Amino acid sequence: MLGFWKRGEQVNDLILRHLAHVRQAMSLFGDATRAYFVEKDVEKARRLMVETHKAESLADDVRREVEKTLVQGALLAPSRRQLLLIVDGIDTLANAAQGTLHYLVNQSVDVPPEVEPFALKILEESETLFEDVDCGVRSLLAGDAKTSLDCAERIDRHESAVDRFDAEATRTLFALNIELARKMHVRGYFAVLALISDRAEDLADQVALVAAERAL
Amino acid sequence: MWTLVAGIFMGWSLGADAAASLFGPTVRSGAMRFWTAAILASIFVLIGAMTVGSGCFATYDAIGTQTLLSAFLVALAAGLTITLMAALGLPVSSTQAVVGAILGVGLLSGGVSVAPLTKIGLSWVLTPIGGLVAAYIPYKLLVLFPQALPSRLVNRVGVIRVGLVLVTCYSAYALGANNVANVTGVFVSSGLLSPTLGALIGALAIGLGILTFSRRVIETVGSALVRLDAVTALIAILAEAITLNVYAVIGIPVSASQAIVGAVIGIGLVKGVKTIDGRVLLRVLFGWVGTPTIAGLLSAGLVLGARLVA
Repeated sequence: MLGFWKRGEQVNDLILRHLAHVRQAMSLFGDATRAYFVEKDVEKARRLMVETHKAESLADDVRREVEKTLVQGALLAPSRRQLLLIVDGIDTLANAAQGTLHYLVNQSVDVPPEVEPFALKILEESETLFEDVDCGVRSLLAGDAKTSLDCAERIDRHESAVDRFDAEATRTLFALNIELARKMHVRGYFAVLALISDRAEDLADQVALVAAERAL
Repeated sequence: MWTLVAGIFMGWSLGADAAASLFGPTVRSGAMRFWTAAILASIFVLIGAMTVGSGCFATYDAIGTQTLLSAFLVALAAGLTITLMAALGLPVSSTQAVVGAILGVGLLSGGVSVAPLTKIGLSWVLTPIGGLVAAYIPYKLLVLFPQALPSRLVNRVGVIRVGLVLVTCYSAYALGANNVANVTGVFVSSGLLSPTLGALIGALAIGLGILTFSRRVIETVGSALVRLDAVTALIAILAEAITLNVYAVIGIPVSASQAIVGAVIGIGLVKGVKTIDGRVLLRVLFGWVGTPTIAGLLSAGLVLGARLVA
């Protein structure tokens, strides 16, 4: 009868492992983006992009393990559904980070110096935002609904900040006297960069929902 | 002995119907696989019937002593009422069907005692209230002291899961203890069966219903519990079981579905939300009046028909 408890613990550990791999992917994504913009070292950025891809793949493997353990009967049906949505939500962050790097490095996006600071600001917000994602998920697993809700609220604030930087970047970009094709190319990069915070916001909504449902 | 077929048929339909509230939420939530739940429930129905179940036989005996033929007609009328009402999608209470059928036969034979009927009538009103109180108190305590449940997700879900398994067993035990008299009570009253044999055959018939047809009932019909989460479903099933158990000890068979309706209302009172709509309450009222009336008319008709043939 206690076999299901063991499977529950297994799911808990797997979610934390998955979170660790996504953290690694996010950290490599930050390093790669800085290598591209700050160090202007495209080769280093490319190397780190490959590392990000590896971390994302490892996260995918663990996510599948979570799914398998849940299907085998860990926890209860409603908790399984909620945790699957949360794990999927965390996973989309690593996917978005990887996709952003592919766009930047593989397409050699030529970001004008006037707009570069906005990309770095969005990057910083995304990194801070991930800390709150991490905090929200860990609190949820620990049963601290209040902290989970606080983290979800902070994620929303970071997402708003990203939106503001994105809008400012767009205004600055389209005020520049450069080719429209280049503007569109750079704009596309900002669109994928902002996707990380959009997905984190979706995840925050899910975390908040689960935390709220925990209240009797 | 062939007259027992009607009782076994009744037990079978009772088992199939009761499963929705007995372990429907436990199976649906994934706390237990269907077969584990069905086998456990059948075993505990048997334990409940064999240990406490014979107490309720005396109540049916007190309304009016049965002959072999009247016992058969009562069981047949009650079984047909249950089947008819289930087919029409109307609420089914085996207790009320049996009482109505006994009344129908008894009024024509001139052998009905009023005192036990008053007791039974009162129990019908008190059953949902009992369910309400039995759910309100533990749920209110849980809301006041949420730390009673572990906060860590895995531990919390584990405790709820164990709780669901335990209340499933307890509610099956209580169902066996309280409702087995509905199945074979009239046959014990007629002298065909001893109380022990009546409890055994009744429990086996209920178990047969659980094992052969309850899966379909859980998947298609559901119950008032469907909209509840795991914690509130656990409390509602517990309240149902406590109500049935208390009445089994007193020796009055009551309706499990009406106990659960009371329990769901009790949870709604704590939450400050309406968990049951007017239609469900109307169904409870119909259960009090409609089921015994239909069963009574049917059994009276069967008695008249039997007299004509004879």
